[in-house]
Amino acid sequence: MSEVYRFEDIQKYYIAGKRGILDDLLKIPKVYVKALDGVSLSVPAGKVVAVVGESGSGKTTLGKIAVTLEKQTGGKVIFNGIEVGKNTYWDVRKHVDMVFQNPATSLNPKMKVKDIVQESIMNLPVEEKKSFEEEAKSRGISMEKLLVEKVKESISQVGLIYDEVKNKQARELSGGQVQRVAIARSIIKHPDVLVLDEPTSALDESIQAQVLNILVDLQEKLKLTYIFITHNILVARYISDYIIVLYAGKIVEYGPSEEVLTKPLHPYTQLLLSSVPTTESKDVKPPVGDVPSLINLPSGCRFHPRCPFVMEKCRSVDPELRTQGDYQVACWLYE
Amino acid sequence: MLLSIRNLDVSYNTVAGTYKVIDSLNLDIDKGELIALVGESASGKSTLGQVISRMLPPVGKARGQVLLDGMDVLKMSEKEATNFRGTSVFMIFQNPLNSLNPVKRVGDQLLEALNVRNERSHRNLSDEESRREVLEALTSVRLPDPEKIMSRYPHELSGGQVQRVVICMALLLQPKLLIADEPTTALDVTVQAQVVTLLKDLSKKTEMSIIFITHDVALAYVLSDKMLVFYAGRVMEKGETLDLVKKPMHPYTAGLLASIPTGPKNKGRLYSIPGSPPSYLSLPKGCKFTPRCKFAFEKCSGSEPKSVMASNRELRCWLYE
Repeated sequence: MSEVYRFEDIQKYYIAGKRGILDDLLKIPKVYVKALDGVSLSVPAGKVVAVVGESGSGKTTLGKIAVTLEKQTGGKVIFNGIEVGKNTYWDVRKHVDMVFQNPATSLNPKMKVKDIVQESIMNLPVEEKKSFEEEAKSRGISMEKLLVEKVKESISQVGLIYDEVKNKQARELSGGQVQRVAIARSIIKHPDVLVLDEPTSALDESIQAQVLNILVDLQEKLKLTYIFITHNILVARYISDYIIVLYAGKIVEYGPSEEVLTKPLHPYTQLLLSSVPTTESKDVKPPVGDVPSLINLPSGCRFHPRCPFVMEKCRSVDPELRTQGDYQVACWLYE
Repeated sequence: MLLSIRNLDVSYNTVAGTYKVIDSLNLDIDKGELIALVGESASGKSTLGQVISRMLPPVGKARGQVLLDGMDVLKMSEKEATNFRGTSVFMIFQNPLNSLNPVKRVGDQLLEALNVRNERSHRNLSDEESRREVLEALTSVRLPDPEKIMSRYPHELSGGQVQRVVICMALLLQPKLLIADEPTTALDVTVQAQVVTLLKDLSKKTEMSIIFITHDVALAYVLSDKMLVFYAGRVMEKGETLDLVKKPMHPYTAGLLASIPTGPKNKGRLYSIPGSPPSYLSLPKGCKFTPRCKFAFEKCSGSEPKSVMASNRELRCWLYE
């Protein structure tokens, strides 16, 4: 199985609060917010990897690092064998795109749908645009005509009718339609990977089902790899092949979705799953307490203050992610 | 009967014309009952909450009868309504930060709420006793370190903690009816589960009735005894939660339940209701769900069905006439 992405020991520390020149001169120690703390992960090509976790667990930060919107403070990102750095940003950006949670704020409110969608090719740097220019030349049509064709194609791929929506602005469309336009904008340049950050959580349930179906179809048809960030475990279960469970900036469990969701090993995953309301049971059993502050993380395992199976060892030593086949779990219960 | 609503119509007057957002609604709620209002955005469920708590914006006109504890809510003067809010009906909103004063300490705001109740029920408590009662309430909503929480400002707490402070306020005021408008939408599922179990416990302990407004059918199932399914301002189906979820009769309820993902994608495609909810300015003729309904027949687009009793629930569908 080939891999598209490899994250090696990714760290993303933000400096907490404002720092003036005096703080530096007086050598006041910096306080860090540890959004991601040592995440290693490999994303297989052509699969859907869902990232689940509570808010503040680092899901979105991971997605942003993957699309080069943020730069990690430690560790390496390897995309298709190339290490991502300053000179190789466009190698990633050409093949990767992102869909955001709130389509109303991620689309320009003053632009027409057709311009929004074609912008993603128009804004590529000159040398990256060459492949499209060559395509136009070899088929003997102008670049403008090729763009219109591409826009038409990607808009129809997301289940919208080109002639109906081409001249509309984002505010004239319904929530589900706007999110589809955002998806069309991402697929027009034929990316290999899509990073989807909560693409359906702003939508109603009946519309969410429509968008999920489109995403599944596109993934199969265009052989895309998805990094699907969500807090909705039922959505993650439906769409994903693999699931990563993040807790306070660390991976606690990673494996094939069905296995993780039917036989979760880590106590956090177990409690997370029992908090999800379903029409099967009248009861929900949430974990006690709150997520830890990312500035003062608990010693040892980050989950130990809330864990029902806490042992002496958990309080002092942080468990490492242990690999067994394609399953990984970070818990002292399984050493 | 704690709350009884008869033939409630709510309409909004706008520049574009008058449109009806709630159409002939009937509802009875007993003491200690848990009711869920379920529906997509703009289906009228929040408007009903606003009518009961007398918080409808001025462009909204409500007609009909809303009796809460023997008082007609719609005929109250503004002064009476102020006295009625808080101790008779209390509302929790989606964004809890908006319901607290950002420049006052949490403890002072809770003491203020307690004083309001004391004044209305003519209780005399010393400062020390009031403080103890607030601390007790904070402990019962499972907030750690209640002393510390009291001296904090709302922005220093996490979303789940603020929502629990608001629930604590409800606890101090002891309303007869609590309206919770999407109280957990902004929260994580683990915190959501904590808040939901807390509300359930409270209702059992204090015999408080709760109207829970949500778009999440599964969440409504976990929390409620009775469920109302809203679509375009109409109650499409009303009945016992257990029956309704296990055996939905209205095509809309059935579609809504089927569109919740339950298994992996290789177990079959997700069912989705085609189209999108109608705009109130151009509602379809006849049954409002006709254009998206897979069982639609001639009669459906001709005239709108009235609510009828079918087996153990109320339905608005020509299939059950």
